[in-house]
Amino acid sequence: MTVTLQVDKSLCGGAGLCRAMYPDLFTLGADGLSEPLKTELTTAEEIEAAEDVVGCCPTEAIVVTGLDDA
Amino acid sequence: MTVPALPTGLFGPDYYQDPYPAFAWLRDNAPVHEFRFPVGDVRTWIVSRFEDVHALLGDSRFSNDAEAYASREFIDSGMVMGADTVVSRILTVLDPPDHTRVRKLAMGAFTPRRVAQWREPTERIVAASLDRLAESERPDIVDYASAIPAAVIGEILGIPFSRYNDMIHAIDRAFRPNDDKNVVTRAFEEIAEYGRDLIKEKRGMLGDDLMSVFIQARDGDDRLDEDELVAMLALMIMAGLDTTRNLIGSAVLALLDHPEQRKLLMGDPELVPGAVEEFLRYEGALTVGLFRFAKEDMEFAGTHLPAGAPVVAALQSANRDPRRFENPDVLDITRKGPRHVGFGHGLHNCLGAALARIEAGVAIPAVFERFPDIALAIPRDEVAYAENWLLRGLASLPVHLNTPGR
Repeated sequence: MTVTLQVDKSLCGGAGLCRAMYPDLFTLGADGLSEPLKTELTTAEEIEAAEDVVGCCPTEAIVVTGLDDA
Repeated sequence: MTVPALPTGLFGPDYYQDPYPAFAWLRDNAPVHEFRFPVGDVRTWIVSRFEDVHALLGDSRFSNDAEAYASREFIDSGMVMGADTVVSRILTVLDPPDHTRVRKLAMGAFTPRRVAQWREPTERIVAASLDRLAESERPDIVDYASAIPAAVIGEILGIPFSRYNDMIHAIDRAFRPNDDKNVVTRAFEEIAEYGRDLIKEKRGMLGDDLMSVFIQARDGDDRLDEDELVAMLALMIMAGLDTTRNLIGSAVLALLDHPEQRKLLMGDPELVPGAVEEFLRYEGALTVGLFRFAKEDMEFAGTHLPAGAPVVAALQSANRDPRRFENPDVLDITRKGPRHVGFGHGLHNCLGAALARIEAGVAIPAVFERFPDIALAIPRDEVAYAENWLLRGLASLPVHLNTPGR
């Protein structure tokens, strides 16, 4: 099953922690809010990285789906 | 052409009372400015424009970890935060992967969704603090503002913070300009020691509170070592008490200074969340961020920085940068628009932001609701900020709760 990475812009406050942690996976858009650079995660490293960000984001704005079903 | 000199020496007595003229000068004349940090007399750079502060705080070529990256001169000066104590391994200075592991443990308790449950307890605590203020012979908003975060964080952790006043004094000594390194080290050690006492007490009565989660992470599944556990408590004490106290105190002063803004706020409770953001921008709890250190030789915002360079992000300068905010020196609680850096940015952005927003949003309007005739009890020019290089907080704010003669 594909693991997908999304940012809920209604929750994001632009704290920039995601980009500071993993600049390969996240950037900040013109609105100052987070945007994923990849929406489909394929490697274990990427998935682990995204999960780290989920656990550290101050506003629970990072959404990773497709896990735990294996 | 000659450039006029800095209006006030950085981190000197005049600067502590009003840093904004110096910040305006820096933004215009030397946005990445090299100077000698007067505490410890260390070669330091200060970054003052919003864009550069934002970039600095999000730039992984910098670390907060002095022990790993700071210049020899900085380390020898005794400026390493909490040197020789567990505070030197506090979350605030960790890099990934340690940062990730420790932040994940605490973050879950402080997200907006999780802290929403603390609104009602905060309202109860604020009401009780207002009662105490009303009974006080010399009512002081800073006393009021000190008690609230201590009680709230105490309830979240599941242990009463009875010694919060000692801790506020210790934090003050830890970041006050002082050439005696021993005073600073003892202050950090006192905070760590209180953390150890609280852990010892709590180990015998674990519950479903946050402190039990931390202790479980140490004793249960070894996600924290003993020093990290103590450092976590020190973090809760240091970041949880003084910051929110400063924000509440400065915001009450701002509303006393701006009666029209106060009237606006009291007339429309829906303005509260935006007003809190404006208080964070206008007079946030930290004047500058903790030191960052260049991990390598580099160019930053057009300036060469050698590896180990200590760099200070002037948060309150960024928050008053006219390049970013229209009329930045005007308090406008209806301000819409760009986000401030009152909670920092990047890897070390404030963990407790959502809680601070609730505490401030309850505690600030409540003062004016309970005491509509509140007024300063001292002349305005005697209101003084504490001489603290990190934190921007009023030393005291004496008030008349019911203005005599009215």
